[in-house]
Amino acid sequence: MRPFNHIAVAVALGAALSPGCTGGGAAVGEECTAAGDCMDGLQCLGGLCTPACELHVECGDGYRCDQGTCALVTSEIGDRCEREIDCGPGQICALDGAGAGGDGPLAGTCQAQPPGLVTGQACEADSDCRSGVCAIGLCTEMCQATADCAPGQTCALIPRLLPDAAPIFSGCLPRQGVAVDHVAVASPRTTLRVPVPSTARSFALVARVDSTDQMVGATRVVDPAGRLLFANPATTDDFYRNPLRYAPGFGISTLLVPNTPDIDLQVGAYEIDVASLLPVGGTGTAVPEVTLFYKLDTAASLDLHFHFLDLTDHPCAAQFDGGRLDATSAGMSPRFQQYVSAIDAMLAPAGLTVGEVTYRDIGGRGDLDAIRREHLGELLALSDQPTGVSVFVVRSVSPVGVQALVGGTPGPPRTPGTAASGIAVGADTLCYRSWDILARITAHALARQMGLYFNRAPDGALDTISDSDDSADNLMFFSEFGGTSLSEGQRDVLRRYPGLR
Amino acid sequence: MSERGTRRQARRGRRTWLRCAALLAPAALVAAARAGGPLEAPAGDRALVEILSGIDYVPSRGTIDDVLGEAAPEDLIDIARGVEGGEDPGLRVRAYRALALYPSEETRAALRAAIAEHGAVAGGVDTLYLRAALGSLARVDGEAAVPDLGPLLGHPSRDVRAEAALALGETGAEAAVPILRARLPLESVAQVRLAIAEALRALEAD
Repeated sequence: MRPFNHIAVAVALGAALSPGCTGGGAAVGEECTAAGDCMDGLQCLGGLCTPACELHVECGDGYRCDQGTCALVTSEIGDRCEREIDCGPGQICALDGAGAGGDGPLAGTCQAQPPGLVTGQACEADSDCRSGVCAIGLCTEMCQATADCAPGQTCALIPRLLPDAAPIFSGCLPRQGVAVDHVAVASPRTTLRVPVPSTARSFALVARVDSTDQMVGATRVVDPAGRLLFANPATTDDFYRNPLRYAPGFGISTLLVPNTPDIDLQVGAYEIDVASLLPVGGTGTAVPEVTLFYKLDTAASLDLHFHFLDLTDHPCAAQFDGGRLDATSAGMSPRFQQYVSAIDAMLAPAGLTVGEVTYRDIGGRGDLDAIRREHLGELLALSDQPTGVSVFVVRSVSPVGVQALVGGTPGPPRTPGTAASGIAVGADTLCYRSWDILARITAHALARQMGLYFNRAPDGALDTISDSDDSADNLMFFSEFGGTSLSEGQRDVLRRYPGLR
Repeated sequence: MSERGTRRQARRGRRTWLRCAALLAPAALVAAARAGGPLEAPAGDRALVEILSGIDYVPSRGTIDDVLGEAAPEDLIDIARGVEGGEDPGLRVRAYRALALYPSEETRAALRAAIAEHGAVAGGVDTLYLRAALGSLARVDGEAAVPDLGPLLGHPSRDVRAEAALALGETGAEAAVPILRARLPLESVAQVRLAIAEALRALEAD
């Protein structure tokens, strides 16, 4: 189904193309009864000469582009269809579950087009969409090839969640960006099925509860092939044994799949148990709020949003250009700009680039100027930018000697305003280290916020990423005496973070 | 070799490391700063350097004991003080912090000496040594630390004043309450006022 006004388009295109048309045939916008009446390169559509089509979408609802000519599709309600353009005007190709037991993609039948949202718009249920299909939070329509989809979309394999199965159908999804799906959850513990389409690079499940006294998150993850990727760990050893390294958190947690290249992202339905949890054990009372983020492209631009607490009279203000560092001065400060460039250079081997950089002052929060771990959530909740990572530059981090704090591994992508939405970096590190070292510390914290773990943890535990070594040369080494190298596996995980754009 | 002898030898080795670090660390730091590259770890005991250089990792006493053994407090004091001018400031700060885990007369004396040495300095890394030392003293000396911490509420650095207020709260000492109350109306910086208020809340809840 595609709303389309042939006459208006024909006239508009005619105005644009007429000066270039010569010869004896009818020009764009002139009347015709057949294609032969029109000049070369034109077709006769709706009684007017119009430019030959290239895409089905140019022809409008109920037409398909057939060798440059928009051809009316004739179909009856109930006719079998495999793509939207198999159905005539006023009809949609509606999935009906036929073929669910077969090897090929699901088919459908032509049905009367209901009112609703158009393809690509955000939806919560099939009934929201004119196409009758809501998948990964977006209205989609059936296709056989990308040429069946509107520009900017691609024909993807998408699992259709049926009560006892998740057969695949082909549907149009955005070629770029991140699809966001708010999942309805009604009880403190539930099992979700997460459909992963063929074009997804990763997905992140963000689970939240209003209470910061309860933990929340996934307690079990099974991939479409039935492999257990994660079980809520009872011990530290269990935590390290899980193929997917993750832990629920207080108030909020983010599960990134995959967070190691040793796990393939599969097309199909992942089964994920989500629950609120009491710290003493057992299911909590809060109902989780769950949002899924599907990264659908290879975008690798990381926006950085710097938030400055009050750094006035900092004991190491000598390291700030002009003795001042705030949202106004940072953009013009050679040292600060060099610091941002150094972060960019450290992320570059992963194919990432620092994108938009914003600056904001946070005044009137003396309680957060020097941050302690237990107040980190309050600080990060002040973030207000949906993309990239928010970086809070504070006077100091307590206890003394701690140089940065991370909201989560990973933090919730595209979710500002939560207790895990960003990182904090202490300016007091500049009392004894250079800006370049602070850049390495910041890049390390950013990478953790994007989903990487230590290459070697302080307790000696190694990364789940099999090609990352345990050397101090690695960016993910837990000590400030570390390097900036990243293994190919680590780079791959960074590129999958849905906060990139 | 007996267990005692092995420990003695290990300790001698660490002392050698401390002396070597004294000579090598400044050169490494200068070289790294010039090159603009990664920060090179001071030469010596790798495990010790690692546990005292975590970006957001604060080692437990058990972890420090595993690395330093029974000589831990003495070695930490040496690192905190710096040896023969060759100290790494990051390690020093964290060594002062770690002394909170080792209450002893020797530790208390070292922390008081640090407060005396750095207490008059208003800026730079000395304020970090000072903050780490006063925080540790509050933990290892409790009420007895109040006379050392109280005057720091008038320190020129707001960060030191705020740390001192919170440290007074950590002592759990009733004697800290009037000192904090007296300072509150004089304090103009919100960061410090809020730290004083938090300390008072903690003390009055006890």
